[in-house]
Amino acid sequence: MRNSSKSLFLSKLLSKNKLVLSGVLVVGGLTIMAIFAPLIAPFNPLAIDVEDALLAPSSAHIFGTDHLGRDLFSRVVFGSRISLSIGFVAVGISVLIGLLIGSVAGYYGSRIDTALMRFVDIMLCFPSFFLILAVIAILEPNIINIMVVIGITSWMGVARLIRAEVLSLKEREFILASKAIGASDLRVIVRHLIPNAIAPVLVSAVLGVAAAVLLESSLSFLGLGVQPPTPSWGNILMEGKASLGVCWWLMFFPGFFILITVLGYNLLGEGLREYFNPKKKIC
Amino acid sequence: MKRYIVKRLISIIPMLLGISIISFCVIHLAPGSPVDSSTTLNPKVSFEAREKLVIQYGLDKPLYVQYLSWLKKITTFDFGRSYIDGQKVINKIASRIPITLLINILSISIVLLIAIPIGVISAVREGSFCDRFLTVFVFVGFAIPGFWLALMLMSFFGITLGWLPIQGITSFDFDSLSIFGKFLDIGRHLIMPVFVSCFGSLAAMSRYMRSSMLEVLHKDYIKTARAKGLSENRVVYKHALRNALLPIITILGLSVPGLIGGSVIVESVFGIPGMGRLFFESVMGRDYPVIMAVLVIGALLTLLGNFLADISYLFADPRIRYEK
Amino acid sequence: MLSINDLTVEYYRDDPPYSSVGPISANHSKACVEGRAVDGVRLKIPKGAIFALVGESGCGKTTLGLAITGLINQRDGRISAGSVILDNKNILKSSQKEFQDIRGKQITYIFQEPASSLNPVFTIGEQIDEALIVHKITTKKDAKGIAIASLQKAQIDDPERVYHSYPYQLSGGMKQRAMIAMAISTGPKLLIADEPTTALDTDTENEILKLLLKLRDELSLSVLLITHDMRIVQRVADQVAVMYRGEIVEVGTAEKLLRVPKHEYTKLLLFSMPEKLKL
Repeated sequence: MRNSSKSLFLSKLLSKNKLVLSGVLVVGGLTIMAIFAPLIAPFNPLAIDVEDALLAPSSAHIFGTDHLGRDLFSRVVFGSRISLSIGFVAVGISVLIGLLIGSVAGYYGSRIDTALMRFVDIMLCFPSFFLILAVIAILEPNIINIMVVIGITSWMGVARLIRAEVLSLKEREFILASKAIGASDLRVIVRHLIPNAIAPVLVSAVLGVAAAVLLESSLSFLGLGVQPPTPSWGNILMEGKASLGVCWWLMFFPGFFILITVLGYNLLGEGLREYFNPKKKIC
Repeated sequence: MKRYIVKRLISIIPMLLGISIISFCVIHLAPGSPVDSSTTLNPKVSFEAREKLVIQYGLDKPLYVQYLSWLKKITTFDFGRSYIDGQKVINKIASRIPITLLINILSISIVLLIAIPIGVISAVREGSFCDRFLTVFVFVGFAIPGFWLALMLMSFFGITLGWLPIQGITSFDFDSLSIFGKFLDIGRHLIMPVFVSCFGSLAAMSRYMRSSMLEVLHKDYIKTARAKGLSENRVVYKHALRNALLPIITILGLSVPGLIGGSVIVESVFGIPGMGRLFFESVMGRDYPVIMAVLVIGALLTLLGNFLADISYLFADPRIRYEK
Repeated sequence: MLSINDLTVEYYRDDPPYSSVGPISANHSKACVEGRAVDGVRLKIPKGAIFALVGESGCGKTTLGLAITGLINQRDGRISAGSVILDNKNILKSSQKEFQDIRGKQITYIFQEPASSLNPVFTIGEQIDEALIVHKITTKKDAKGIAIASLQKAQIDDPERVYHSYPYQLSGGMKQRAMIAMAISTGPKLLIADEPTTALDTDTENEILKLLLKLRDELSLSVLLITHDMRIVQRVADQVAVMYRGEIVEVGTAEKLLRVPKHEYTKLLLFSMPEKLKL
């Protein structure tokens, strides 16, 4: 997109929809927090100080401390790095797999399409959380594995979207034209079909980040995700579970951050979706 | 119509096959033979004993042979025995499934009872304060992590207020209660878990209902209904609603795997002895026969849910009903 | 029989401020008014005649039809001036309930797309019965008889079968006939037909037009036929009003107007017809 149409896109998007605006703000804020974590966090998230354990929020520790005296605010800030990076990479993996399978299925059609879509249907039968847990049971729960596992269980939606777009684009003239001048299948798929089908994928990817963050935090909460002492919002909640009812700050803040992260990405995703498919008014 | 149902049933068979293949592959294609962890836990197991286990579980045979023998067994619901306590897997699951089903069915019922009216109201009063408020509520509902909601509720209602029990499904003095008392006891234990379980779906479903309703309200036949002089209530609740509910049936079927998967968290946090918690425990304990069995059964339940949704759709939409 | 006096309908910009229930306040609507879809229209529709309202797309003819029956969506626009007199009563001053009584009983409507104008989940019979029952024309028991009679009047050969059919089981022409049957079942004074044949093929179009003529003669039915097609006007109209940009530019009997058009725009319309049908 050229500069002028890009800025037009942004201003149109933001002005029309307050929800999207708040989504963008939240996402932007979290990204800044994740990138500049060492500058924002006042303490080392791993620094243990047992004397100061389980302190309520105060001016020294604005979110309080956990059972090992670690500053909760710092842990939450660094946790954003973990959760967001896992979210991005997992979505990246799922989009890549989905693009591959969806475009091949849509482009080649007939038996390949039927076989691949059957495969998608079967994968969709499994509750995704079950699949993820089962695979984590075999592999060790570390960050890379989590990214991969979430990625390989979340591609189905993207695949279906891409397939639908490819099917509808396939017969359009510009595709037939490029085939007529002898472009190879791969070239047609990559250079022509995919760029035009990208809009719903973008929406799916943004919403996918929200879903991935939820999944990762659920895994970490169950102890099968990011392992302590590396802070993740999920495992902070896991560790704080023991002091349920007593130390409300250990419960509240990490969960709240998961909430606004997911909310922010969802709002952004919905806003993008409305931007790409404006609902027409019937007069 | 019967032909359609039979066709549908037949098409399930390749799906079942695929499900079994994937369940099998998920476990067996991972690095490290399954038998390693179960025996390394126990240092007293000698090399010969381990060899014996390998032969007993047929782990020395090629993969496809293992798959076929496992497949043969599960057609009779013989999922083998648990690595953890040697019980028959099918028994373990059978004892846990009713509770999970109960929670999920209650969740679906609540979602239907509440989400549909919310969706309809949002659509009819599109753009109003009511609609915008509900939209915000729905978005937040989407975004709340289930386990966090569970913890917050437990902390507030369970500990701070002490109104509701926070663990298990029955109290200590369960056996001494009257029948009505037993009902009430289980009910009290289920309030929070069911609430957490249906919260996310509630948000999603009301959103879908709203869009479906909005789409239908713009259709030509609604114009006709209004032009006929029908009251707005009649137009909305008779003409529009029936059409708007059709896609909801399909969506309901699609939400089944999400509910089943969500039961892991809900049951683990609330200490409910259901299938989800069993799955979690077997994952922690690397109890592979149980893991494979729950995968298969979870997928089966999803297939069942989709099948029921399809059949309901068949009855609801006359266009499908009369086509061959 | 029905006279429209100085009717003006304003419509709003795309994003009006929302209100919950109830009319948008006068201040708001003034701020958002984009233009006038119908501007000071004056018409008199006599009894037992086919009155054609002809004009190009977007000239406001559909809006006029909607305005007469009170079907303008509050969010899209409002009637800012004028009156519609039916039986010596200004129906625009009616309450919601009174309007619901008039709509579908004294003034009925058929739309352009028969394929989507009937509710797909109810049978034709159920939909016609509903009109009869809601307007208290008959009881549930007798509704079927009247519905079948209406279907017959609409020249449907096998009314019993159509009564029990779902819309998707019928052809386009059949559906439009069923719509007409539903519209005449309550014994209306005026039938507003908004482009009723645009979506049909030529043969079916002829049949429907013939049906309208027959109904005019047999039932003394007045028809406000909204169309953009001058050939239809030539074929069936008794009186014609030409509409352009919300205003009526010429009105008169079909004979006079078609032979000796006075207004420039009428002349344009007439001369742009590809071929003239014989009367």
